Amino acid sequence: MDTKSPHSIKDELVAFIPSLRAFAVSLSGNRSTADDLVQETLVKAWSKLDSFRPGTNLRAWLFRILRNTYYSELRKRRTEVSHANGIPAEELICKAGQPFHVELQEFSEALNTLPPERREALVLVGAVGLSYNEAAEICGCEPGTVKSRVSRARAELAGILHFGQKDEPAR
Amino acid sequence: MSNRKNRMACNEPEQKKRSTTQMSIEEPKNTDEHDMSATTIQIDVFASGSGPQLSQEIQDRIGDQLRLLYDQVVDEDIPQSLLELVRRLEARKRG
Repeated sequence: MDTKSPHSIKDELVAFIPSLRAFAVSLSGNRSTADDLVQETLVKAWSKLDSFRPGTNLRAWLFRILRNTYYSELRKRRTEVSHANGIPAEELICKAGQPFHVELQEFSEALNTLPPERREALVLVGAVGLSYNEAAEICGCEPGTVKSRVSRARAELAGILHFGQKDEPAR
Repeated sequence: MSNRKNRMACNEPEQKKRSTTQMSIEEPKNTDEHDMSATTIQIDVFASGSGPQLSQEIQDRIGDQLRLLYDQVVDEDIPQSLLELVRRLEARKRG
């Protein structure tokens, strides 16, 4: 806080909102829940700014706040959250003319059936492009655990979607 | 999507693993970090030594779709409500 004015921190927070939203959608499978999660994350981050050390990884710090918020909400309202029960999440908003939308919709639904811990590991590594170390920092586990969750998640998705199998539906 | 159900039904062992893991995540009492590590151990046991390695082609395909999904949201405009929230937070800090 000494080296960063609140103003520049504010700009950095705003810059991370798009990726926080995308991570929140992948965790919750629901856009309005996702925006609530981002909102709560921003409020918490702002109130805890003093505990953030400038020069350390702001993205990891914000993502960690978001995923911890998600899991504590999940515990509180388990029965209300359809996502963890494998019920297909809200439909994707696909841009008109997007060629992959059917396949992508199926992929999204398959992703939503994965246990949250595997889904988040796969998203952090596969979509956000984080290292196992950085993903582990966010998830509060060992890099090796992230690695095994990612490979389990990939195997499950490939199984559900019949990727690479003879009976895979023609596209 | 009934097609999906059929496909998943063919995948009995996968399904069993998945539901076992979910149960420990959703266990109402032990949902602290300790329980998370218990879940982890369970996953690691399943992960070690079973199942063929996915081909690079399939891994790439999964990676492509993950990024498409993720970037779709990243590329959206930030909702005004969130921008407004940051403005309010900043005003509060200054005031």
